[in-house]
Amino acid sequence: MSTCSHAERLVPLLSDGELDGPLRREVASHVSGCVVCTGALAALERGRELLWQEIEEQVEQIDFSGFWEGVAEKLTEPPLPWAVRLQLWRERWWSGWSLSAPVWAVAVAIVLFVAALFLPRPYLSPDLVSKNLEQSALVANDQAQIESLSSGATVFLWNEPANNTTVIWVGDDSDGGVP
Amino acid sequence: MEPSDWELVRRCKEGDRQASRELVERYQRKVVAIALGMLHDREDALEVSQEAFAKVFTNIQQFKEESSFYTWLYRIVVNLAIDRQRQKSRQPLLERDDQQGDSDRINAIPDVASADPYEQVKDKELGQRIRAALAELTPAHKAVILLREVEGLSYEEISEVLQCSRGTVMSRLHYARKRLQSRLRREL
Repeated sequence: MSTCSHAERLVPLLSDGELDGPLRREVASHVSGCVVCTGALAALERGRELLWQEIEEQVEQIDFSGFWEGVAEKLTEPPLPWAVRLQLWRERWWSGWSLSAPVWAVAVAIVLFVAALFLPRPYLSPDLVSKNLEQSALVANDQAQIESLSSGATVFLWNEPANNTTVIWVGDDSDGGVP
Repeated sequence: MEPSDWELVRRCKEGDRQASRELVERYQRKVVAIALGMLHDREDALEVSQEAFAKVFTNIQQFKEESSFYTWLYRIVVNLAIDRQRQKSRQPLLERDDQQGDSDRINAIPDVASADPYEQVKDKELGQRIRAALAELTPAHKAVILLREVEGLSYEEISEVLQCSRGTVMSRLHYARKRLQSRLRREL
């Protein structure tokens, strides 16, 4: 064991009896020669002693002579209403997962934002465009307009508002595929 | 020779009431100690402790002897104490204040029988500070430090009681000890 900080992390484990074998001997040997670790060990043991004494003193004040009778009485009591038991179960389960509402809101907002960034934008499929043409003329940039179309034609529309450009591709079935 | 816990549990399953009583008398102080540390109120602690035993005997047939009886018992009392604390926190403030006044009178620890009045006051003040420091911890941290420092359970046993990992036990214990040490710096 080379450094005091390592030993300080292991001092609680030593104090709690959670080390064994060579590591326990090594840490114990280090602590015996290190003022800081000796102080840390003493503080842990003093804290344990104080807490134990305090609780024990409270227990000593209690008269246990009627305790078993109290248990026996509770054995004959009717159980809590199911609604109360359900609520207790729900609270106990939820406390293990609960985060505050704002944290949840932020988490959901981040997920939606990331999804919006990476999901592909919607586009008009060729089938949708060709169906639309059956109902109304296709107008591009308020200038060009397709007024009629022979049957069997496939139309692809590419619109770039930034450049104010629209490309209309009209093909028949022999062309095959998307341009 | 005293019967083992498993022997008493087996007899309880067969309906032996005396075995139930022996189990209660064997563990009543330990259970009340945990409940007192969690709830800081004698009446609540006694009631929760009795409820814990009642729950144990009601469900004794489901108890599998792979785990130890006392870890199962402690798990029940910790959960009941947490439930009781939640119920109390939902009580209207005025009603809680009235009850608090009564429980202060009931639960006031009488002065230690010391000849020195200064020592009496000092001990009482120290007890109050320890109780206050413990009260500041969350139920999860209270449970860990009580099971370790008062009941002397190993990390493995504590993880079994609290149904969490050994790492979580160590982390909570570290935090709880730091908080207590910062509040009780003078004494440590």
